[in-house]
Amino acid sequence: MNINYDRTLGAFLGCGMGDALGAPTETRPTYLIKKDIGNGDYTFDYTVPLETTLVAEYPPARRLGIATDDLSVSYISALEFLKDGKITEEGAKRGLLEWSKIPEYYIPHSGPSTRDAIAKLVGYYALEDNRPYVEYDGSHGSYPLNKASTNGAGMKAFVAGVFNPLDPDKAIDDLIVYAGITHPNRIALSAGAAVAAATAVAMDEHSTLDKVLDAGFYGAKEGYLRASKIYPSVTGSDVVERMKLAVGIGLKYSDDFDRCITEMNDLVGLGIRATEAIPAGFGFMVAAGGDTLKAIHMAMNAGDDTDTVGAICGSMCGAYQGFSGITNAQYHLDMIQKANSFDLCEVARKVSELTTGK
Amino acid sequence: MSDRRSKILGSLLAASVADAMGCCTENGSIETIKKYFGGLCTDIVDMPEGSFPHGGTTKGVVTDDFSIAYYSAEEFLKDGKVSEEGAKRAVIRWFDEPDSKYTRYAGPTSRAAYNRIKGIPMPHTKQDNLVTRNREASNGAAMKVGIIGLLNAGNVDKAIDEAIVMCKVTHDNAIALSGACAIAAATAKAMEERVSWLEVVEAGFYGAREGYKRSVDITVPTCGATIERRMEYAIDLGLQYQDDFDEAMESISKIIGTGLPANEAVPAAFGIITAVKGDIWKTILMAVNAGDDTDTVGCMAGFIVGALEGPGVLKDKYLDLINRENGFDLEKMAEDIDTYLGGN
Repeated sequence: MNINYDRTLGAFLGCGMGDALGAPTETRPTYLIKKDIGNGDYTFDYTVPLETTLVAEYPPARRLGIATDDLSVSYISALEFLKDGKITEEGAKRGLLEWSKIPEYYIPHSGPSTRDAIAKLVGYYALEDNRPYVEYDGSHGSYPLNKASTNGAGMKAFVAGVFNPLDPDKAIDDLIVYAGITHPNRIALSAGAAVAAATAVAMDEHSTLDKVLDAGFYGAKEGYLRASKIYPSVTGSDVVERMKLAVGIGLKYSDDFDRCITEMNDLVGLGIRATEAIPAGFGFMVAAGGDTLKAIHMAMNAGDDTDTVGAICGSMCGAYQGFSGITNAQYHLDMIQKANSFDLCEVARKVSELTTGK
Repeated sequence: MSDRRSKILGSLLAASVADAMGCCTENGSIETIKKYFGGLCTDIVDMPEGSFPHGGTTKGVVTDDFSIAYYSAEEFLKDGKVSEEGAKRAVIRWFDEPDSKYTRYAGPTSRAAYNRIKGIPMPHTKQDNLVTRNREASNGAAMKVGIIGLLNAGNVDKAIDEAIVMCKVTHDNAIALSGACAIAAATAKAMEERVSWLEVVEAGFYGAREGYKRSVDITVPTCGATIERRMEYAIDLGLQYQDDFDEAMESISKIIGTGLPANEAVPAAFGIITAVKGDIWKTILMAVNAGDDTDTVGCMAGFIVGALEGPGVLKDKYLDLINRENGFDLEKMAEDIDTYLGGN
C-alpha cells in the first residue's frame, strides 16, 4: 500500500470511527454515558444509538455503526471535489446540496449554520416549514454572524488536509473556501484551519506528533488572519488560547484516562462551540500520543459533542498513523462501510491518485 | 441612609448601570467596540440605529438582565418571601407586559420557560428526544439572581438555596444554577459590613460548588464545562493581570469567553472582579468592553461590587436616568429590601 493512500484512508477512517463510536454517546455527560450505554462503565465499542439520541430523530438510522454529519458531510464533499479535481466553492456547495438529500444524515444532524447555508443555496428551508431564506441586510452589524462560531467547520476540515498533503498553507486556504460556505466566521474557520493544516502535515511520511501539533497552531493563527480579510469580527474566545489549555491537559494526564477526560470537559469544554470541540480534539490527540483509537476512546466517553470531538482527533490521528497503523483497522472499516454505504477505500484511492499525480 | 441600605442601593445601581451601558456594546467583539468608540466605552450613550445590535434604543433603558431581576424583587417583596410562585409570576408579568421595552431581549431559555409555565406548545425539535438540555446551561439564571443575594444579605447558605428556588423555574439544570448560586452567594457576602473582594470571591466559589451539589439531583442532566473549574482559571488570569487592565480584559475574553453560556459569563464576571480588586467603576468598564454578552457580565458583577462599595459616584451620575427611563424607583426598592431584611 503506498504511503499517501494509507494516510488518506486513515484520515477518512479515523473521522468515521470517531463519528460512529460517538454517535450513541453524544449529548450525554460522562456519568450518563456510563449509566445508559456502558452498563455502569466506560464504553469502547459500537452500540446501537438509543431512542434518546439525535440519531433517533430519523428512526431507520438507529443502527450499529451509523455515522452522523461529521463523516457524511466530509465524504460527500470529497466526492464533489474529486469531480472538480480540486477544492472549489462550487464543489462545496454541490456537496452540501447532495448531503441535504440524504435524510438519515440531514434530518437528525444538520446544525443551524449548515441549515442556513443550504437554505441560502436553495432559497428556502426545505425540511422545516419551507419558509423562504432571507438574506441578512447588515442592519445590525456583524452580530448574526456570531452564532456561526461553531465546530461544523472543524468536523469536516481534514478533507482540506488530505487534498493538500504536506502543504499546510494550501490546506488553510482551501479550508476557508470549503467551510466558508457554511461557517462565514473567523473563529469557526480558525478552528477548521487548525485541523486542516495539522492533517496536511500528518500526511508526511516523516512527520512526528509535535510537527502535527505545530501545524495545528499555525493553522489556527493563519486561518484566523486569512478569514479576517473576508469576514467581520465576531465574538467568542480564542482557538489558539483554548488549544494551549487543551494540549496542557493532554500532556499532564496522558496516563490518567479519568482525569484527562474530566479536566478536558470541566475546563476546555466539549460542546458545539468551535473553541471547545476543536481544542479538545487536539488535547486528546496529544494525550493519546497520536493513537487514533485511544484518542477516540477518550472523546466518546468525555461527553457532550463526543462524535465531533472524536471525528476531529480521529481524522488527524488517522492521517498520522495511516490505515496500517490503526488498531483493528479492518474491523472498523467494515463496520462503517457496511452501516453507511460509503466506499472509503475508493474515495481515498481517488484522492490519493489526484494528490500524487498517479 | 444606613450603611446597609446604601449597600443595597449600590448593588441595584451598579447592576442596572452596567446593564444599560452593556446594552450599547452587547454582541460586539473587543475589536469592534474599540473601533466604534475609539477606545473604551465609558458612558451610557445614544447608539444610532445599525451601529450595534441594540442601536436605536433609548439610552438608559436596561435589558432583560436587570429588568427581570427588578420584577422578581417586586414579587418577592410583595409576598415577604422568595418562592417559586413569585419567580413564576415575575416571568409571566415580564413577558406579558404590553409595549414592553424589555421582551426584545428575552433569551431562548427564559422564553421556553415562559411557554412551559403558560402551557403554550412549542414546535418539536430533535433536541426533544434527548435526556439532556445542553442549550439551557445559559447565563439567564445568573443574570437576575443578584437580587437573591440582597434579600439574603450576609446569609450565603440561604442565598444559595433561594437562588435555586428562583432560577430553577427558568433554568432547570445544574450548570446554570451553579453559576447563579455563585453570583447570589457572592452578593450575599458582599452585603456584610466589613468585607473585601477576597471574601466575596471565596463565597462565589462556595456558591458555585454548593449550588452544583444541591441542584444536580433535582434538575435535568446537562453537559458542559463546569462553572467551578472555569472560575478557577478566570481568577488566576485576574490575579496574573491585576495591574494591567487591557491584558486582563483580553485574556479573560479570549480564554474564558464572555458569552451566553453560564460557564463563560459567570467565570468571566469573577475574573473581572479579581482583576480590578472589586473596584466598582473598573468592574463595569471591563465588563462592558470585554465583548459578547457585555450587559449580562456587567449586571452580574455589578450586583456584587455595588453591594461591596455602595453607590458612590454612580448615584449622582445615573440614578435619575435609570429611574426615569425604566419607570423604576431604585431608592424605594433599596428601602423595601432593607425593611424586608429586618433588624437594624
